[in-house]
Amino acid sequence: MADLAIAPPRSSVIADAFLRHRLSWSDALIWLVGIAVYFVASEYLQLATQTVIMIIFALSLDLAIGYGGIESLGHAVFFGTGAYAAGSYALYVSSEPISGLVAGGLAAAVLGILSGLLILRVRGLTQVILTLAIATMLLQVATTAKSITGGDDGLTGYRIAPILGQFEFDLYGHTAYIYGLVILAVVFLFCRVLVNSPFGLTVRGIRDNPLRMRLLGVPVTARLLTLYTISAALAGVAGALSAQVTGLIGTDSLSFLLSGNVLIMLILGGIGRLSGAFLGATVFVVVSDRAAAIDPFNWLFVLGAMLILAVRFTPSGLTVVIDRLVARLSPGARRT
Amino acid sequence: MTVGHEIAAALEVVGLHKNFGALRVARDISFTLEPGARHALIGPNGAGKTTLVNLITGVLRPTSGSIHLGGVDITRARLERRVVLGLARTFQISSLFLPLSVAENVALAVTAKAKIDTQPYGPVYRRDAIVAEVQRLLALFEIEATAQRRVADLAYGQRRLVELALALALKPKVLLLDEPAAGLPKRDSERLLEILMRLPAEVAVLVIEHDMELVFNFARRITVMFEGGILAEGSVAEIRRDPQVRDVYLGHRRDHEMAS
Repeated sequence: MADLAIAPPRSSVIADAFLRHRLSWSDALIWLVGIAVYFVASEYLQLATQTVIMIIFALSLDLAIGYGGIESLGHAVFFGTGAYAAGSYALYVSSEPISGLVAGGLAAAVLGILSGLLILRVRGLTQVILTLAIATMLLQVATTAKSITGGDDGLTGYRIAPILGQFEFDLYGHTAYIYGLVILAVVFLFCRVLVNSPFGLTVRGIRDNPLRMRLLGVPVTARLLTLYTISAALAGVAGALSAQVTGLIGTDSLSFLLSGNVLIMLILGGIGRLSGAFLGATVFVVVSDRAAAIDPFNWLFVLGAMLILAVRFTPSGLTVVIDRLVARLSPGARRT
Repeated sequence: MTVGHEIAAALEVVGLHKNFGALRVARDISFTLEPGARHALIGPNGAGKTTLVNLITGVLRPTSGSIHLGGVDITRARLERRVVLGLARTFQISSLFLPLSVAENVALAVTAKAKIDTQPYGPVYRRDAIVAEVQRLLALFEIEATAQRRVADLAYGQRRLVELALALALKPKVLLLDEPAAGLPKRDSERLLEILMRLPAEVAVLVIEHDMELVFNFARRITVMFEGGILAEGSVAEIRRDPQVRDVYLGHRRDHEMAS
Protein backbone atom coordinates (compact mmCIF):
# COMPACT_ATOMS: atom_id res chain seq x y z
CA MET A 1 0.00 0.00 0.00
CA ALA A 2 2.90 2.31 0.82
CA ASP A 3 4.25 1.89 -2.73
CA LEU A 4 0.91 2.75 -4.16
CA ALA A 5 0.81 5.97 -2.21
CA ILE A 6 4.13 7.07 -3.67
CA ALA A 7 3.89 5.80 -7.20
CA PRO A 8 0.37 6.33 -8.56
CA PRO A 9 1.01 9.01 -11.17
CA ARG A 10 3.83 7.10 -12.85
CA SER A 11 2.12 3.73 -12.58
CA SER A 12 -0.90 5.10 -14.34
CA VAL A 13 1.34 6.10 -17.25
CA ILE A 14 2.31 2.44 -17.54
CA ALA A 15 -1.24 1.22 -16.98
CA ASP A 16 -2.45 3.53 -19.75
CA ALA A 17 0.02 1.92 -22.12
CA PHE A 18 -2.11 -1.23 -22.33
CA LEU A 19 -4.88 -1.74 -24.80
CA ARG A 20 -8.15 -1.49 -23.01
CA HIS A 21 -11.48 -2.18 -24.34
CA ARG A 22 -13.17 0.56 -22.37
CA LEU A 23 -16.86 1.00 -21.90
CA SER A 24 -17.62 4.45 -23.16
CA TRP A 25 -20.62 6.52 -24.12
CA SER A 26 -20.55 4.91 -27.57
CA ASP A 27 -21.17 1.54 -25.91
CA ALA A 28 -24.08 3.02 -24.01
CA LEU A 29 -25.36 4.38 -27.31
CA ILE A 30 -25.22 0.95 -28.95
CA TRP A 31 -27.32 -0.59 -26.22
CA LEU A 32 -29.73 2.34 -26.17
CA VAL A 33 -30.24 1.90 -29.91
CA GLY A 34 -30.68 -1.82 -29.33
CA ILE A 35 -33.43 -1.21 -26.78
CA ALA A 36 -35.00 1.64 -28.75
CA VAL A 37 -35.45 -0.65 -31.76
CA TYR A 38 -37.71 -2.82 -29.64
CA PHE A 39 -40.13 0.04 -29.04
CA VAL A 40 -39.78 2.13 -32.16
CA ALA A 41 -39.31 -0.38 -34.95
CA SER A 42 -41.25 -3.39 -33.76
CA GLU A 43 -42.17 -4.39 -37.34
CA TYR A 44 -38.47 -4.93 -38.02
CA LEU A 45 -37.77 -7.11 -34.98
CA GLN A 46 -37.01 -10.19 -37.06
CA LEU A 47 -34.37 -8.30 -38.98
CA ALA A 48 -33.04 -6.83 -35.73
CA THR A 49 -32.81 -10.30 -34.19
CA GLN A 50 -30.96 -11.48 -37.29
CA THR A 51 -28.55 -8.58 -36.80
CA VAL A 52 -28.00 -9.46 -33.15
CA ILE A 53 -27.18 -13.07 -34.09
CA MET A 54 -24.74 -11.92 -36.75
CA ILE A 55 -23.05 -9.57 -34.26
CA ILE A 56 -22.43 -12.50 -31.91
CA PHE A 57 -21.11 -14.54 -34.83
CA ALA A 58 -18.86 -11.69 -35.98
CA LEU A 59 -17.56 -11.21 -32.41
CA SER A 60 -16.56 -14.87 -32.33
CA LEU A 61 -14.70 -14.47 -35.62
CA ASP A 62 -13.02 -11.31 -34.37
CA LEU A 63 -11.53 -13.23 -31.45
CA ALA A 64 -9.98 -15.74 -33.86
CA ILE A 65 -8.85 -13.41 -36.65
CA GLY A 66 -8.50 -10.02 -35.00
CA TYR A 67 -6.94 -11.06 -31.72
CA GLY A 68 -5.35 -14.43 -32.49
CA GLY A 69 -4.42 -14.00 -36.15
CA ILE A 70 -6.11 -17.32 -36.96
CA GLU A 71 -7.27 -16.95 -40.52
CA SER A 72 -10.56 -18.77 -40.68
CA LEU A 73 -12.61 -18.82 -43.84
CA GLY A 74 -14.84 -21.59 -42.61
CA HIS A 75 -16.30 -20.23 -39.43
CA ALA A 76 -19.82 -21.16 -40.51
CA VAL A 77 -19.09 -24.78 -39.55
CA PHE A 78 -19.23 -23.72 -35.92
CA PHE A 79 -22.34 -21.64 -36.47
CA GLY A 80 -24.03 -24.52 -38.29
CA THR A 81 -22.87 -27.14 -35.79
CA GLY A 82 -24.25 -25.02 -32.95
CA ALA A 83 -27.52 -24.65 -34.83
CA TYR A 84 -27.95 -28.37 -35.56
CA ALA A 85 -26.89 -29.27 -32.02
CA ALA A 86 -29.44 -26.88 -30.53
CA GLY A 87 -32.14 -28.15 -32.91
CA SER A 88 -31.42 -31.79 -32.10
CA TYR A 89 -31.23 -30.94 -28.42
CA ALA A 90 -34.70 -29.39 -28.60
CA LEU A 91 -36.03 -32.39 -30.54
CA TYR A 92 -34.58 -35.22 -28.48
CA VAL A 93 -33.43 -33.91 -25.09
CA SER A 94 -35.19 -30.82 -23.83
CA SER A 95 -36.91 -27.79 -25.25
CA GLU A 96 -35.42 -25.56 -22.57
CA PRO A 97 -33.65 -22.72 -24.48
CA ILE A 98 -30.70 -21.73 -22.22
CA SER A 99 -29.36 -25.28 -21.96
CA GLY A 100 -29.96 -25.49 -25.71
CA LEU A 101 -27.54 -22.61 -26.24
CA VAL A 102 -25.00 -24.33 -24.02
CA ALA A 103 -25.44 -27.55 -26.02
CA GLY A 104 -24.85 -25.63 -29.26
CA GLY A 105 -21.77 -23.92 -27.82
CA LEU A 106 -20.33 -27.18 -26.50
CA ALA A 107 -20.85 -29.06 -29.77
CA ALA A 108 -19.10 -26.27 -31.67
CA ALA A 109 -16.31 -26.17 -29.06
CA VAL A 110 -15.63 -29.89 -29.55
CA LEU A 111 -15.42 -29.34 -33.29
CA GLY A 112 -13.20 -26.32 -32.59
CA ILE A 113 -10.72 -28.46 -30.67
CA LEU A 114 -10.67 -31.17 -33.35
CA SER A 115 -10.28 -28.84 -36.33
CA GLY A 116 -7.96 -26.55 -34.33
CA LEU A 117 -5.51 -29.42 -33.91
CA LEU A 118 -5.33 -29.55 -37.71
CA ILE A 119 -5.37 -25.93 -38.77
CA LEU A 120 -3.21 -24.35 -36.04
CA ARG A 121 -0.11 -26.21 -37.14
CA VAL A 122 0.03 -24.04 -40.23
CA ARG A 123 -0.32 -20.36 -40.94
CA GLY A 124 -1.28 -18.00 -43.71
CA LEU A 125 -2.83 -19.19 -46.94
CA THR A 126 -2.47 -22.85 -45.98
CA GLN A 127 -4.55 -22.16 -42.91
CA VAL A 128 -7.22 -20.36 -44.90
CA ILE A 129 -7.48 -23.28 -47.32
CA LEU A 130 -7.60 -25.84 -44.50
CA THR A 131 -10.47 -24.06 -42.72
CA LEU A 132 -12.26 -23.86 -46.05
CA ALA A 133 -11.67 -27.55 -46.73
CA ILE A 134 -12.99 -28.60 -43.33
CA ALA A 135 -16.06 -26.42 -43.83
CA THR A 136 -16.73 -27.93 -47.25
CA MET A 137 -16.39 -31.46 -45.89
CA LEU A 138 -18.83 -30.78 -43.08
CA LEU A 139 -21.34 -29.23 -45.43
CA GLN A 140 -21.15 -32.41 -47.51
CA VAL A 141 -21.66 -34.55 -44.42
CA ALA A 142 -24.66 -32.46 -43.33
CA THR A 143 -26.27 -32.71 -46.76
CA THR A 144 -25.83 -36.50 -46.77
CA ALA A 145 -26.80 -37.25 -43.17
CA LYS A 146 -30.50 -36.63 -43.75
CA SER A 147 -31.59 -38.50 -40.63
CA ILE A 148 -29.84 -35.97 -38.40
CA THR A 149 -29.92 -32.75 -40.38
CA GLY A 150 -32.90 -33.22 -42.66
CA GLY A 151 -30.54 -32.77 -45.57
CA ASP A 152 -31.50 -30.10 -48.08
CA ASP A 153 -35.00 -29.83 -46.57
CA GLY A 154 -33.50 -28.57 -43.33
CA LEU A 155 -34.17 -29.49 -39.73
CA THR A 156 -37.43 -28.25 -38.33
CA GLY A 157 -40.41 -29.30 -36.19
CA TYR A 158 -38.78 -28.72 -32.84
CA ARG A 159 -40.36 -26.57 -30.16
CA ILE A 160 -38.60 -24.16 -27.83
CA ALA A 161 -40.02 -23.84 -24.33
CA PRO A 162 -40.53 -20.43 -22.70
CA ILE A 163 -37.31 -18.80 -21.49
CA LEU A 164 -36.82 -19.50 -17.77
CA GLY A 165 -40.32 -20.98 -17.93
CA GLN A 166 -41.71 -17.45 -18.12
CA PHE A 167 -41.29 -15.82 -21.48
CA GLU A 168 -43.00 -17.55 -24.35
CA PHE A 169 -41.63 -17.02 -27.87
CA ASP A 170 -44.29 -14.98 -29.64
CA LEU A 171 -45.20 -14.74 -33.29
CA TYR A 172 -43.95 -11.16 -33.61
CA GLY A 173 -40.48 -11.93 -32.27
CA HIS A 174 -40.62 -9.68 -29.21
CA THR A 175 -39.29 -12.31 -26.86
CA ALA A 176 -36.77 -13.55 -29.42
CA TYR A 177 -35.28 -10.08 -29.84
CA ILE A 178 -34.88 -9.36 -26.12
CA TYR A 179 -33.53 -12.89 -25.64
CA GLY A 180 -30.96 -12.29 -28.39
CA LEU A 181 -30.03 -8.90 -27.01
CA VAL A 182 -29.39 -10.33 -23.54
CA ILE A 183 -27.26 -13.16 -24.97
CA LEU A 184 -25.34 -10.60 -27.04
CA ALA A 185 -24.67 -8.52 -23.91
CA VAL A 186 -23.34 -11.59 -22.10
CA VAL A 187 -21.15 -12.60 -25.05
CA PHE A 188 -19.85 -9.06 -25.50
CA LEU A 189 -18.94 -8.66 -21.81
CA PHE A 190 -17.22 -12.05 -21.94
CA CYS A 191 -15.18 -10.99 -24.99
CA ARG A 192 -14.29 -7.71 -23.35
CA VAL A 193 -12.98 -9.40 -20.23
CA LEU A 194 -11.09 -11.86 -22.40
CA VAL A 195 -9.29 -9.31 -24.58
CA ASN A 196 -8.26 -7.17 -21.59
CA SER A 197 -6.90 -10.16 -19.70
CA PRO A 198 -3.36 -11.55 -19.68
CA PHE A 199 -4.63 -14.26 -22.02
CA GLY A 200 -5.89 -11.58 -24.41
CA LEU A 201 -2.50 -9.91 -24.40
CA THR A 202 -0.79 -13.25 -24.96
CA VAL A 203 -2.82 -14.12 -28.05
CA ARG A 204 -2.18 -10.68 -29.52
CA GLY A 205 1.51 -11.33 -28.96
CA ILE A 206 1.19 -14.64 -30.79
CA ARG A 207 -0.67 -12.92 -33.63
CA ASP A 208 2.17 -10.42 -34.05
CA ASN A 209 5.21 -12.64 -33.49
CA PRO A 210 4.65 -16.34 -32.73
CA LEU A 211 8.33 -17.31 -32.76
CA ARG A 212 9.18 -14.66 -30.20
CA MET A 213 6.33 -15.89 -28.00
CA ARG A 214 7.91 -19.36 -28.06
CA LEU A 215 11.14 -17.72 -26.97
CA LEU A 216 9.29 -16.25 -24.01
CA GLY A 217 8.50 -19.85 -23.04
CA VAL A 218 4.87 -19.79 -24.18
CA PRO A 219 3.42 -22.92 -25.83
CA VAL A 220 1.96 -21.05 -28.78
CA THR A 221 -0.19 -23.78 -30.34
CA ALA A 222 -1.85 -24.63 -27.02
CA ARG A 223 -2.81 -20.98 -26.46
CA LEU A 224 -4.19 -20.64 -29.97
CA LEU A 225 -6.17 -23.85 -29.54
CA THR A 226 -7.79 -22.38 -26.42
CA LEU A 227 -8.68 -19.22 -28.29
CA TYR A 228 -9.99 -21.08 -31.33
CA THR A 229 -12.14 -23.29 -29.10
CA ILE A 230 -13.62 -20.25 -27.35
CA SER A 231 -14.25 -18.62 -30.71
CA ALA A 232 -15.90 -21.79 -32.02
CA ALA A 233 -18.09 -22.06 -28.93
CA LEU A 234 -19.34 -18.48 -29.33
CA ALA A 235 -20.05 -19.08 -33.02
CA GLY A 236 -21.95 -22.17 -31.91
CA VAL A 237 -24.00 -20.07 -29.48
CA ALA A 238 -24.86 -17.70 -32.34
CA GLY A 239 -25.94 -20.67 -34.46
CA ALA A 240 -27.97 -22.15 -31.61
CA LEU A 241 -29.67 -18.82 -31.07
CA SER A 242 -30.50 -18.65 -34.76
CA ALA A 243 -31.96 -22.19 -34.65
CA GLN A 244 -34.09 -21.35 -31.62
CA VAL A 245 -35.58 -18.10 -32.88
CA THR A 246 -36.19 -19.15 -36.50
CA GLY A 247 -37.31 -22.72 -35.81
CA LEU A 248 -35.56 -23.90 -38.95
CA ILE A 249 -31.99 -24.95 -39.75
CA GLY A 250 -30.87 -25.30 -43.34
CA THR A 251 -27.54 -26.47 -44.69
CA ASP A 252 -26.89 -22.82 -45.62
CA SER A 253 -26.01 -22.29 -41.94
CA LEU A 254 -22.85 -24.33 -42.68
CA SER A 255 -22.16 -22.81 -46.06
CA PHE A 256 -19.19 -20.96 -47.41
CA LEU A 257 -21.51 -18.06 -48.20
CA LEU A 258 -22.15 -17.52 -44.50
CA SER A 259 -18.42 -17.84 -43.67
CA GLY A 260 -17.70 -15.25 -46.33
CA ASN A 261 -20.47 -12.91 -45.21
CA VAL A 262 -19.37 -12.84 -41.59
CA LEU A 263 -15.82 -12.09 -42.69
CA ILE A 264 -17.11 -9.24 -44.84
CA MET A 265 -19.05 -7.88 -41.86
CA LEU A 266 -15.89 -7.90 -39.79
CA ILE A 267 -13.78 -6.22 -42.46
CA LEU A 268 -16.52 -3.65 -42.97
CA GLY A 269 -16.69 -2.80 -39.28
CA GLY A 270 -13.03 -3.17 -38.38
CA ILE A 271 -11.01 -6.20 -37.29
CA GLY A 272 -9.56 -6.66 -33.80
CA ARG A 273 -11.69 -4.12 -31.94
CA LEU A 274 -14.95 -5.85 -30.95
CA SER A 275 -16.96 -2.73 -31.83
CA GLY A 276 -16.29 -3.54 -35.49
CA ALA A 277 -18.54 -6.59 -35.19
CA PHE A 278 -21.45 -4.42 -34.06
CA LEU A 279 -21.13 -1.85 -36.79
CA GLY A 280 -20.15 -4.24 -39.57
CA ALA A 281 -22.92 -6.76 -38.91
CA THR A 282 -25.56 -4.05 -38.54
CA VAL A 283 -24.60 -2.27 -41.75
CA PHE A 284 -24.32 -5.55 -43.65
CA VAL A 285 -27.62 -7.05 -42.53
CA VAL A 286 -29.62 -3.83 -42.85
CA VAL A 287 -28.17 -2.82 -46.21
CA SER A 288 -28.60 -6.28 -47.74
CA ASP A 289 -32.19 -6.42 -46.50
CA ARG A 290 -33.07 -2.96 -47.83
CA ALA A 291 -31.23 -3.53 -51.10
CA ALA A 292 -32.99 -6.86 -51.59
CA ALA A 293 -36.35 -5.24 -50.87
CA ILE A 294 -35.76 -2.44 -53.34
CA ASP A 295 -34.18 -4.51 -56.11
CA PRO A 296 -34.51 -8.29 -55.57
CA PHE A 297 -32.40 -9.04 -58.64
CA ASN A 298 -29.39 -6.77 -58.32
CA TRP A 299 -29.08 -6.26 -54.56
CA LEU A 300 -25.75 -8.11 -54.42
CA PHE A 301 -24.35 -5.34 -56.59
CA VAL A 302 -25.09 -2.83 -53.85
CA LEU A 303 -23.36 -5.02 -51.31
CA GLY A 304 -20.30 -5.43 -53.52
CA ALA A 305 -20.10 -1.70 -54.19
CA MET A 306 -20.38 -0.99 -50.48
CA LEU A 307 -17.51 -3.34 -49.70
CA ILE A 308 -15.29 -1.89 -52.41
CA LEU A 309 -15.93 1.65 -51.17
CA ALA A 310 -15.31 0.65 -47.56
CA VAL A 311 -12.03 -1.09 -48.34
CA ARG A 312 -10.94 1.80 -50.55
CA PHE A 313 -11.69 4.60 -48.10
CA THR A 314 -11.56 3.00 -44.64
CA PRO A 315 -9.36 -0.06 -44.93
CA SER A 316 -9.32 -0.47 -41.14
CA GLY A 317 -13.08 -0.45 -40.91
CA LEU A 318 -15.99 1.87 -40.30
CA THR A 319 -15.34 2.06 -36.54
CA VAL A 320 -12.12 3.96 -37.29
CA VAL A 321 -14.15 6.67 -38.99
CA ILE A 322 -16.35 6.92 -35.91
CA ASP A 323 -13.28 6.95 -33.65
CA ARG A 324 -11.83 9.89 -35.58
CA LEU A 325 -15.11 11.71 -35.36
CA VAL A 326 -15.24 11.13 -31.61
CA ALA A 327 -11.63 12.27 -31.26
CA ARG A 328 -12.42 15.46 -33.15
CA LEU A 329 -15.46 16.17 -31.01
CA SER A 330 -13.72 15.52 -27.68
CA PRO A 331 -10.03 16.50 -27.81
CA GLY A 332 -9.44 14.93 -24.38
CA ALA A 333 -10.32 11.44 -25.57
CA ARG A 334 -7.41 9.29 -26.60
CA ARG A 335 -7.26 5.74 -27.80
CA THR A 336 -4.46 3.61 -26.40
CA MET B 1 28.92 -34.14 -17.11
CA THR B 2 28.24 -31.88 -14.17
CA VAL B 3 28.85 -34.58 -11.58
CA GLY B 4 31.47 -33.44 -9.14
CA HIS B 5 30.66 -29.76 -9.33
CA GLU B 6 29.72 -28.32 -5.99
CA ILE B 7 27.52 -25.63 -7.50
CA ALA B 8 26.12 -26.25 -10.94
CA ALA B 9 27.48 -23.91 -13.58
CA ALA B 10 24.95 -21.53 -15.08
CA LEU B 11 25.77 -22.86 -18.53
CA GLU B 12 28.11 -25.67 -19.41
CA VAL B 13 28.85 -26.58 -23.00
CA VAL B 14 30.93 -29.74 -23.53
CA GLY B 15 32.39 -31.03 -26.78
CA LEU B 16 29.73 -29.54 -29.04
CA HIS B 17 29.85 -30.52 -32.70
CA LYS B 18 27.49 -29.57 -35.48
CA ASN B 19 27.77 -30.83 -39.03
CA PHE B 20 25.62 -29.98 -42.00
CA GLY B 21 26.52 -32.98 -44.12
CA ALA B 22 30.26 -32.68 -44.70
CA LEU B 23 30.27 -29.06 -43.57
CA ARG B 24 31.45 -28.73 -39.98
CA VAL B 25 30.07 -25.49 -38.57
CA ALA B 26 30.90 -26.20 -34.93
CA ARG B 27 33.95 -28.19 -33.86
CA ASP B 28 34.49 -29.43 -30.31
CA ILE B 29 33.24 -26.36 -28.49
CA SER B 30 33.49 -26.39 -24.70
CA PHE B 31 33.12 -23.56 -22.24
CA THR B 32 31.49 -22.81 -18.92
CA LEU B 33 29.64 -19.81 -17.57
CA GLU B 34 29.57 -19.53 -13.79
CA PRO B 35 26.62 -17.71 -12.22
CA GLY B 36 27.21 -13.99 -12.64
CA ALA B 37 29.72 -14.48 -15.47
CA ARG B 38 30.37 -11.67 -17.96
CA HIS B 39 31.60 -13.61 -20.93
CA ALA B 40 32.15 -12.43 -24.48
CA LEU B 41 32.21 -14.53 -27.63
CA ILE B 42 34.17 -12.95 -30.46
CA GLY B 43 35.49 -14.02 -33.82
CA PRO B 44 35.46 -12.93 -37.44
CA ASN B 45 32.33 -13.28 -39.55
CA GLY B 46 31.65 -16.92 -40.33
CA ALA B 47 33.52 -18.14 -37.24
CA GLY B 48 30.38 -19.92 -36.05
CA LYS B 49 29.18 -17.55 -33.33
CA THR B 50 25.58 -17.47 -34.51
CA THR B 51 25.58 -21.25 -35.00
CA LEU B 52 26.70 -21.61 -31.40
CA VAL B 53 23.92 -19.31 -30.19
CA ASN B 54 21.42 -21.35 -32.21
CA LEU B 55 22.74 -24.55 -30.67
CA ILE B 56 22.48 -23.17 -27.15
CA THR B 57 19.00 -21.74 -27.63
CA GLY B 58 17.68 -24.86 -29.36
CA VAL B 59 17.10 -23.53 -32.84
CA LEU B 60 19.63 -26.13 -34.00
CA ARG B 61 20.35 -29.57 -32.52
CA PRO B 62 24.01 -30.51 -32.08
CA THR B 63 25.47 -33.53 -33.89
CA SER B 64 27.25 -34.47 -30.66
CA GLY B 65 28.19 -32.97 -27.32
CA SER B 66 26.10 -31.70 -24.45
CA ILE B 67 24.65 -28.50 -23.02
CA HIS B 68 23.68 -28.11 -19.36
CA LEU B 69 21.73 -25.19 -17.94
CA GLY B 70 21.97 -24.84 -14.17
CA GLY B 71 22.91 -28.54 -14.00
CA VAL B 72 19.99 -29.69 -16.17
CA ASP B 73 20.75 -31.39 -19.48
CA ILE B 74 19.07 -29.31 -22.18
CA THR B 75 20.93 -30.76 -25.17
CA ARG B 76 17.69 -32.07 -26.69
CA ALA B 77 15.20 -29.81 -24.90
CA ARG B 78 12.66 -27.78 -26.85
CA LEU B 79 13.04 -24.03 -27.25
CA GLU B 80 10.25 -23.19 -24.78
CA ARG B 81 11.63 -25.58 -22.16
CA ARG B 82 15.05 -23.91 -22.25
CA VAL B 83 13.44 -20.53 -21.67
CA VAL B 84 11.43 -21.87 -18.74
CA LEU B 85 14.63 -23.33 -17.26
CA GLY B 86 16.30 -19.91 -17.36
CA LEU B 87 17.78 -19.17 -20.76
CA ALA B 88 16.92 -15.82 -22.35
CA ARG B 89 18.30 -14.07 -25.38
CA THR B 90 18.14 -10.88 -27.33
CA PHE B 91 18.22 -10.77 -31.10
CA GLN B 92 20.64 -9.36 -33.61
CA ILE B 93 17.74 -8.22 -35.71
CA SER B 94 15.18 -6.78 -33.36
CA SER B 95 12.33 -9.22 -32.94
CA LEU B 96 9.56 -7.60 -30.97
CA PHE B 97 5.79 -7.18 -31.18
CA LEU B 98 5.69 -4.15 -33.43
CA PRO B 99 2.01 -3.15 -33.23
CA LEU B 100 1.97 -3.38 -29.43
CA SER B 101 3.07 -0.70 -27.00
CA VAL B 102 6.41 -0.92 -25.22
CA ALA B 103 4.68 -1.70 -21.93
CA GLU B 104 2.63 -4.46 -23.59
CA ASN B 105 5.78 -5.96 -25.07
CA VAL B 106 7.43 -6.18 -21.68
CA ALA B 107 4.21 -7.35 -20.03
CA LEU B 108 4.10 -10.32 -22.42
CA ALA B 109 7.38 -11.52 -20.96
CA VAL B 110 6.32 -10.70 -17.40
CA THR B 111 3.05 -12.67 -17.65
CA ALA B 112 4.80 -15.56 -19.40
CA LYS B 113 7.36 -15.74 -16.59
CA ALA B 114 4.69 -15.53 -13.87
CA LYS B 115 2.75 -18.27 -15.71
CA ILE B 116 -0.40 -16.15 -15.68
CA ASP B 117 -0.55 -15.78 -19.46
CA THR B 118 -3.49 -18.20 -19.53
CA GLN B 119 -5.71 -16.21 -17.17
CA PRO B 120 -8.76 -15.11 -19.15
CA TYR B 121 -9.97 -12.52 -16.64
CA GLY B 122 -8.68 -9.50 -14.72
CA PRO B 123 -7.48 -6.69 -17.01
CA VAL B 124 -3.71 -6.45 -17.36
CA TYR B 125 -3.70 -2.72 -16.68
CA ARG B 126 -5.40 -3.20 -13.34
CA ARG B 127 -2.92 -5.77 -12.08
CA ASP B 128 -0.51 -3.94 -9.84
CA ALA B 129 2.02 -6.79 -9.84
CA ILE B 130 2.35 -6.73 -13.63
CA VAL B 131 2.28 -2.95 -13.96
CA ALA B 132 4.89 -2.52 -11.20
CA GLU B 133 7.22 -5.11 -12.73
CA VAL B 134 6.91 -3.54 -16.18
CA GLN B 135 7.65 -0.16 -14.66
CA ARG B 136 10.69 -1.52 -12.82
CA LEU B 137 12.14 -2.99 -16.02
CA LEU B 138 11.46 0.10 -18.09
CA ALA B 139 13.07 2.24 -15.40
CA LEU B 140 16.12 -0.03 -15.31
CA PHE B 141 16.72 0.59 -19.00
CA GLU B 142 15.59 4.22 -18.88
CA ILE B 143 12.76 3.76 -21.36
CA GLU B 144 9.82 4.61 -19.11
CA ALA B 145 8.99 7.60 -21.28
CA THR B 146 8.35 5.30 -24.26
CA ALA B 147 5.91 3.03 -22.38
CA GLN B 148 2.84 4.09 -24.36
CA ARG B 149 4.47 4.16 -27.78
CA ARG B 150 4.18 1.37 -30.29
CA VAL B 151 7.46 -0.48 -30.74
CA ALA B 152 7.08 0.08 -34.49
CA ASP B 153 7.49 3.82 -33.85
CA LEU B 154 10.68 3.50 -31.79
CA ALA B 155 14.21 4.27 -32.90
CA TYR B 156 16.57 1.38 -33.40
CA GLY B 157 18.54 1.96 -30.20
CA GLN B 158 15.42 2.12 -28.09
CA ARG B 159 14.18 -1.15 -29.54
CA ARG B 160 17.42 -2.72 -28.36
CA LEU B 161 16.62 -1.61 -24.84
CA VAL B 162 13.10 -3.02 -25.07
CA GLU B 163 14.69 -6.31 -26.19
CA LEU B 164 16.83 -6.25 -23.06
CA ALA B 165 13.82 -5.49 -20.84
CA LEU B 166 11.96 -8.45 -22.36
CA ALA B 167 14.87 -10.80 -21.83
CA LEU B 168 15.39 -9.70 -18.25
CA ALA B 169 11.67 -9.96 -17.47
CA LEU B 170 12.15 -13.72 -17.81
CA LYS B 171 14.50 -13.60 -14.80
CA PRO B 172 17.03 -15.75 -16.63
CA LYS B 173 20.00 -17.62 -15.19
CA VAL B 174 21.77 -17.12 -18.49
CA LEU B 175 21.31 -14.18 -20.82
CA LEU B 176 22.61 -14.31 -24.39
CA LEU B 177 23.09 -10.94 -26.02
CA ASP B 178 23.42 -11.31 -29.77
CA GLU B 179 25.32 -8.25 -31.05
CA PRO B 180 23.56 -5.74 -28.80
CA ALA B 181 25.57 -2.82 -30.22
CA ALA B 182 25.29 -3.72 -33.91
CA GLY B 183 24.16 -0.75 -35.94
CA LEU B 184 24.27 1.65 -33.01
CA PRO B 185 26.15 4.94 -33.33
CA LYS B 186 29.15 5.33 -31.03
CA ARG B 187 27.36 7.49 -28.47
CA ASP B 188 24.51 5.00 -28.15
CA SER B 189 26.83 2.05 -27.72
CA GLU B 190 28.57 3.86 -24.87
CA ARG B 191 25.21 4.34 -23.22
CA LEU B 192 24.39 0.69 -23.91
CA LEU B 193 27.56 -0.36 -22.10
CA GLU B 194 26.55 1.78 -19.16
CA ILE B 195 23.16 0.07 -19.06
CA LEU B 196 24.64 -3.41 -19.51
CA MET B 197 26.78 -2.79 -16.45
CA ARG B 198 23.54 -2.54 -14.47
CA LEU B 199 22.34 -6.07 -15.34
CA PRO B 200 21.70 -8.08 -12.16
CA ALA B 201 24.97 -9.44 -10.80
CA GLU B 202 23.69 -13.02 -10.42
CA VAL B 203 22.77 -13.41 -14.10
CA ALA B 204 25.42 -15.06 -16.27
CA VAL B 205 25.76 -12.98 -19.45
CA LEU B 206 27.19 -14.22 -22.74
CA VAL B 207 27.62 -11.43 -25.23
CA ILE B 208 28.39 -11.88 -28.93
CA GLU B 209 29.75 -8.60 -30.18
CA HIS B 210 31.98 -6.97 -32.77
CA ASP B 211 32.43 -3.71 -30.88
CA MET B 212 35.77 -4.43 -29.19
CA GLU B 213 35.57 -1.46 -26.89
CA LEU B 214 32.30 -2.74 -25.50
CA VAL B 215 33.65 -6.29 -25.23
CA PHE B 216 36.85 -5.28 -23.42
CA ASN B 217 34.96 -3.03 -21.02
CA PHE B 218 32.06 -5.35 -20.30
CA ALA B 219 33.48 -8.88 -20.31
CA ARG B 220 35.68 -10.52 -17.73
CA ARG B 221 36.42 -13.54 -19.89
CA ILE B 222 36.55 -13.88 -23.64
CA THR B 223 36.26 -16.86 -25.94
CA VAL B 224 37.59 -16.40 -29.45
CA MET B 225 36.06 -18.50 -32.21
CA PHE B 226 37.57 -19.21 -35.58
CA GLU B 227 36.34 -21.48 -38.35
CA GLY B 228 33.80 -23.23 -36.14
CA GLY B 229 36.17 -23.99 -33.27
CA ILE B 230 37.59 -22.27 -30.22
CA LEU B 231 40.87 -20.52 -30.90
CA ALA B 232 41.52 -19.16 -27.42
CA GLU B 233 39.86 -18.46 -24.12
CA GLY B 234 41.06 -16.26 -21.32
CA SER B 235 40.77 -13.05 -19.38
CA VAL B 236 40.52 -9.78 -21.27
CA ALA B 237 44.22 -9.08 -20.73
CA GLU B 238 45.25 -12.55 -21.92
CA ILE B 239 43.17 -12.28 -25.06
CA ARG B 240 44.51 -8.82 -25.86
CA ARG B 241 48.07 -10.17 -25.57
CA ASP B 242 47.46 -13.39 -27.51
CA PRO B 243 49.38 -13.09 -30.81
CA GLN B 244 47.28 -15.77 -32.50
CA VAL B 245 44.10 -13.85 -31.72
CA ARG B 246 45.61 -10.65 -33.04
CA ASP B 247 46.46 -12.45 -36.22
CA VAL B 248 43.13 -14.01 -37.07
CA TYR B 249 40.76 -11.61 -35.52
CA LEU B 250 41.92 -8.28 -34.25
CA GLY B 251 44.48 -7.91 -37.02
CA HIS B 252 42.05 -9.09 -39.61
CA ARG B 253 39.51 -6.66 -38.33
CA ARG B 254 41.91 -3.75 -38.32
CA ASP B 255 42.81 -4.45 -41.96
CA HIS B 256 39.19 -4.79 -42.76
CA GLU B 257 38.39 -1.47 -41.14
CA MET B 258 41.22 0.26 -42.94
CA ALA B 259 40.08 -1.16 -46.22
CA SER B 260 36.56 0.06 -45.73
